[in-house]
Amino acid sequence: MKPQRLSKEVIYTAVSLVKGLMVTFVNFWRKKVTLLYPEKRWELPENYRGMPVMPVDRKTGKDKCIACGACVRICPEQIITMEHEVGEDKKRKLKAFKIDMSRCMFCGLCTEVCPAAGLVPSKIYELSSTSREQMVFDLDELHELGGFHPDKPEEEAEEKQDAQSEI
Amino acid sequence: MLAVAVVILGFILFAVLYIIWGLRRVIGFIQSRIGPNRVGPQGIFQTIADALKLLQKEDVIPEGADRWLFTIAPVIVFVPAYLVYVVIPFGDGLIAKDLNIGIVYISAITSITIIGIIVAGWASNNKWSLLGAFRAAAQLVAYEVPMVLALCVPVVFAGSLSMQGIVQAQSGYTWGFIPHWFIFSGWGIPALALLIYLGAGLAEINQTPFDIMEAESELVAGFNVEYSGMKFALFFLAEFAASFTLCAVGATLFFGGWQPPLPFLGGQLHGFAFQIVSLFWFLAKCVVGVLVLMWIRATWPRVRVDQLMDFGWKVMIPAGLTVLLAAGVVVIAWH
Repeated sequence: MKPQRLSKEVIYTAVSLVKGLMVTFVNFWRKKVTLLYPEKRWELPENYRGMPVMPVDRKTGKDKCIACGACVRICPEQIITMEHEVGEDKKRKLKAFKIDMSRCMFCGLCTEVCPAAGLVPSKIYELSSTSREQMVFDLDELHELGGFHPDKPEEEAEEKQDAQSEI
Repeated sequence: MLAVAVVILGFILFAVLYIIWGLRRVIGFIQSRIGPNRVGPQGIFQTIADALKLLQKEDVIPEGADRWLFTIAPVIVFVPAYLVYVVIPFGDGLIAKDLNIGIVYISAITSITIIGIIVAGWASNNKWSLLGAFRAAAQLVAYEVPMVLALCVPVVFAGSLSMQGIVQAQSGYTWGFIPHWFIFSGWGIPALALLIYLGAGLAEINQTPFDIMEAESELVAGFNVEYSGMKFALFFLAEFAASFTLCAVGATLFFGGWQPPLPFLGGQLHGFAFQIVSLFWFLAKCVVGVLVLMWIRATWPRVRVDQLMDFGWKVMIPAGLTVLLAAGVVVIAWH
């Protein structure tokens, strides 16, 4: 190596070592990204897609499921089981509904496919339990976890329809 | 004398526990993490918990190992790291034994560690540990020379090999506020010597730019692959005790040892009070040094084996000789 190039290289090396030290020095004082999880929690976004639940309507006290069975058919893991009966007004009614959350992969297809906004994603993500049986959620539990239906999806859908018709 | 030995051992254990904790916290902070913060306030008992865990672990001796050498190797590595503390001047009069050849003693004793490392690598009957031991031997022998050359520079300036004598030579202040530490005097020659000392020292304690002897990506963990439990803890202890020693010797030789940085920060005191203040200043300088080592450890990448040997023989040793020559010229011309 020519002496001129060598000296350039030496200077470059020395400068870059000091530069590296400055980078880590600045990083030392930066805000830490670690979240102390059990004590502090994430602020979940509004459109967070957690466990699917069945909220009940505030007025009637019933869920909005029409027992079409779309969620049962689309579930890739086939963890949703549903039983229905045909009522006197010849409408299908939900008799039993179960989700085995131990095998759920949170793809959200069941909530996307639901035509009646009966099954909606919640913000629930901590689902550990001590037995497999506890991981199977039935209709009552899904109602309880779901709380009251915010009724927003329908309004939004109507608004969308209006907007489309205007166009 | 036994009491002094016990105090020094206790100090080493305490210092190593908190150097390891501090290392994990500092590197965590530099990497935008928090580091261990669960055991005790800010995680200060984390290393104690780790040490207790290591004590309980099964002491595995590999089947093909040389049992006797395998057992004695951690002791050979730890004892020199412990013996060095005999001549570390912790404060005014706070020194186990002020040998009149203190510097020679330090460089002689620290070299013994190499034997323990080679023994450990050989006795493990494992190719990784043997390779690690070879690398360690080559590295430590190569960097021992510039280390000693750098140590000679303050000796030339102080005219004394005793640790307390070197500290005494750095007393006093220019214009009342610039301390007569070697780092600030001698036309910058000791500052160059400090750079060489730091580079060689990093290689001696197997720290990051020069940690090829335990390069995880190449050698798993180097010479101590097969060690577990308390024997591994002894290697660990020796390594971190050596990193504190590096800072302590550096502080003594270049940063005035236990001399306070400004005259009114303890210089007016006498007797026992001054001993306490001098102990404080010495430990403060060591802590700063240890933090700098952690900083370097978290920043610089590891060099390749051939680059390491190149740097050691072709750069460090000529630079050390040049600096020593310059120091001699300055001392003769000046004094």
